[in-house]
Amino acid sequence: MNTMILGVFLLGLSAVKNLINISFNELLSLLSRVFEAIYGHEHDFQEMAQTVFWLESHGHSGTNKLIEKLPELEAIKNIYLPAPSIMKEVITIDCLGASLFANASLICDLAFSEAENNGIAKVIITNAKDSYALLGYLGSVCNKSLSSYLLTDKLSAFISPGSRYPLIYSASSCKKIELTCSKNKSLIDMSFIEGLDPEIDESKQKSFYELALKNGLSISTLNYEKLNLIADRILVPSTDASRLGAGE
Amino acid sequence: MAEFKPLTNDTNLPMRSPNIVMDLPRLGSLYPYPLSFMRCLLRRVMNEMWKINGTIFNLDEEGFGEVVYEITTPNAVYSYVIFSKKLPDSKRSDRVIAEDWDMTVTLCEGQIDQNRLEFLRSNVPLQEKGRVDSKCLVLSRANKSMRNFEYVIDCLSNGKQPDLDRIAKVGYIFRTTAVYGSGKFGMSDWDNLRNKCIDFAKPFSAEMFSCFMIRHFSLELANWVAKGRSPDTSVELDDGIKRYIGIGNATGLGMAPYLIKHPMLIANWIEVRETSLARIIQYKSPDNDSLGKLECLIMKAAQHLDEISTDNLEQNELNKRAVHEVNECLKWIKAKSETLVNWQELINHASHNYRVETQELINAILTEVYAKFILDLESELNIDENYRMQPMMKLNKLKSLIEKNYKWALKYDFTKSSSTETFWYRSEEKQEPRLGKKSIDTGIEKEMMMCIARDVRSCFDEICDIEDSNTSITVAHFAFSRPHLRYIIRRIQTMGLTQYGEIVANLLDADVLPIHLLRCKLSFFGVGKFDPRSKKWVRNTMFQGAPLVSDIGNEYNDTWCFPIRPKCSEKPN
Repeated sequence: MNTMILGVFLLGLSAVKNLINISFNELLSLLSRVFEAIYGHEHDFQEMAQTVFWLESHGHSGTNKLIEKLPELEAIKNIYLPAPSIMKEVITIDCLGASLFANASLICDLAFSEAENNGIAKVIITNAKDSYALLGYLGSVCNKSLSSYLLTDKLSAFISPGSRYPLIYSASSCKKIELTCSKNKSLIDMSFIEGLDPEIDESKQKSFYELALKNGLSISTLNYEKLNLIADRILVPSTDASRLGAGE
Repeated sequence: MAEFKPLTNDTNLPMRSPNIVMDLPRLGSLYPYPLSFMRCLLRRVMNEMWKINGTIFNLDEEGFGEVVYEITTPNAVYSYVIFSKKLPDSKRSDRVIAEDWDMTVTLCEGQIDQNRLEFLRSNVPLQEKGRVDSKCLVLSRANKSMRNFEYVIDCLSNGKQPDLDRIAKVGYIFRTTAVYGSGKFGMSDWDNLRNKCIDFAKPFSAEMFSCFMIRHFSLELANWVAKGRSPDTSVELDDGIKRYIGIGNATGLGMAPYLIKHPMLIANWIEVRETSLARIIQYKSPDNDSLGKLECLIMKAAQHLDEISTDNLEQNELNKRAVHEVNECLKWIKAKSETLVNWQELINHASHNYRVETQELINAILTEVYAKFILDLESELNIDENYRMQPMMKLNKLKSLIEKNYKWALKYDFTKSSSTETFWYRSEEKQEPRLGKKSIDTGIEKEMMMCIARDVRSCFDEICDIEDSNTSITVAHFAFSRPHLRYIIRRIQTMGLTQYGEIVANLLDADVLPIHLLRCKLSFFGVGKFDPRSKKWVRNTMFQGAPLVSDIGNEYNDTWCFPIRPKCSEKPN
């Protein structure tokens, strides 16, 4: 039994050691094709790719998170969110169990829009999965005029206007997901993180990003192959006739 | 959101309208000009006197083996590594789906040791099937021109120079079929390259340099193989002929999606070009000196076009007409030389009397006359692309943007089947882009997003469905329940801030001519001598007329545009 456990451990270790170095451009392109394969043109697959790319390139294991969720994403594809309920500065969105990989951009942009109009907007997101996708979108979009504060059961985060690097704190006990955006940071209730040091600060993410830009991103070969298998679904089988489609 | 800044604050410049400039057939008629990427690169190489030396030259008598050139710039050292192999004729193909090549190459940072060479040897010849690393900047390959390679070697072996008539027909000995950069196959990302390798921090500079080096090696190889075959009787290629030999290129549909995926970049390059022209018109006037230069360049351009050899009847006709018209233009200029007070008169005359091809030829020539006056615009060629949603924009503003900037898209009738007969898709063979016909080909469910016009139309129609009283809602609200429109909305918003906007074309039309897209991009590279092989791919020649590596260190005048047949041993331009 111990030998078996050791064998499995060693197998796992060698599997983990099987890494491939890919460039930013390669990962972004791959992720775009993956999301295009899953969602077609019904969603903005490029933005979804940017979200996961941001997570991966800033040290938040975006591809691992995506790989974990792939079966669910495939199963629950085209959920269109019902109209949000908007009461003054509070917006409530029921995601009907869908992943925020697909909807992070819609929700964040709505929050930005309302916050610009009203000075502040608080979005309460219910029945949603994969809340870190919000982090990925907020980081990648880098809103120049608003502060953003995210509270989830996975993490909390604060992003200053124009920053690419959120300050990441521990998870809250909050069952829902809350995103608050404001032109004025002092209007946001950040009592949960008050007095806390971030678990991941700007410098860690910046260093990770810069090193990855220089050397490439290391992702597991297994994950790389899984993603490519999905991405290849957008390719059309080649025939003699189709070869003529490139010109002879 | 990208910080836009106008390319120029000079509101006096008579910039041409996007309606004129962005028309696809006109874009497909553009000629190279002083700010084309090859020209920018070579100015740098020559002015900074880069040192390019062969440090490893392990070739057998037939030219098969490995070569490393070390390139020393004022800022860094690079290596250009070449693997040359024997390839059966039956395996030689220009298609991107080819599996084997006469020569495979890479441009790398730093010097090469044996370990590094071993790593490259294991991967570079595999091309797309290999993996390189972030010290590699470019990965490419080239095949021999069967017509010219053996002919040139044969001549040199027998102590003769090759006949220029023969060289003129195909102006190269080797032809590239793909030049990869920007992070493909593990290579350095563009952002990394432009931060670390300042020597190649301009668009496609590293890729152009790779082509320049293939040209250099092809010339050295010709001498080497000739000497190997006939050590006692062989001669080396005359320098004048060497300068006339460029590097061939085969460009197909693979290039086309780039222009649609990077509209900000394309619009920027076009704006730089148009700014060059507008500046000349606004601030320069015809005088004896400029008229003299113009005359010489027109004659040179006419000769250049006259010398182009292509089997494509349509291209031949285009070239002939351009030669005729540009000669007519020269007569007009000579007749008007005493009274021509500004260059706008010339532009107006061209636009009223000559075809688009000639108009753009004259524009290109004018930029050559005043090349030094526009060189500072080279620094404007880089741009950071960012297509972010502006969620706060009101819907009625978005609608106005479409009506103002996409009027052309709203004119197409997408209910007609011919308007959507073509679809673009990626093949499982190396993801090669291909065109399909809806009525006969399979794969439309996997079509690429290449029709901006149709998607703008869809977005506009959905906006029109909203009651007027609701159009003051924000785009964020509108897109919330229409996620399929997000990408086109952010594109419309972003391109609305550019001066030139989108390429005006319906790329799904039954009669679409993708070759215009290819020629447009190739003109920015600096490529000429187009030899269309079909509507979908074109052979062309790069660096013909360009200085040689042996010319580095000599005075450099940057006048190798419109290359013409030399007299032997002509001095460099």
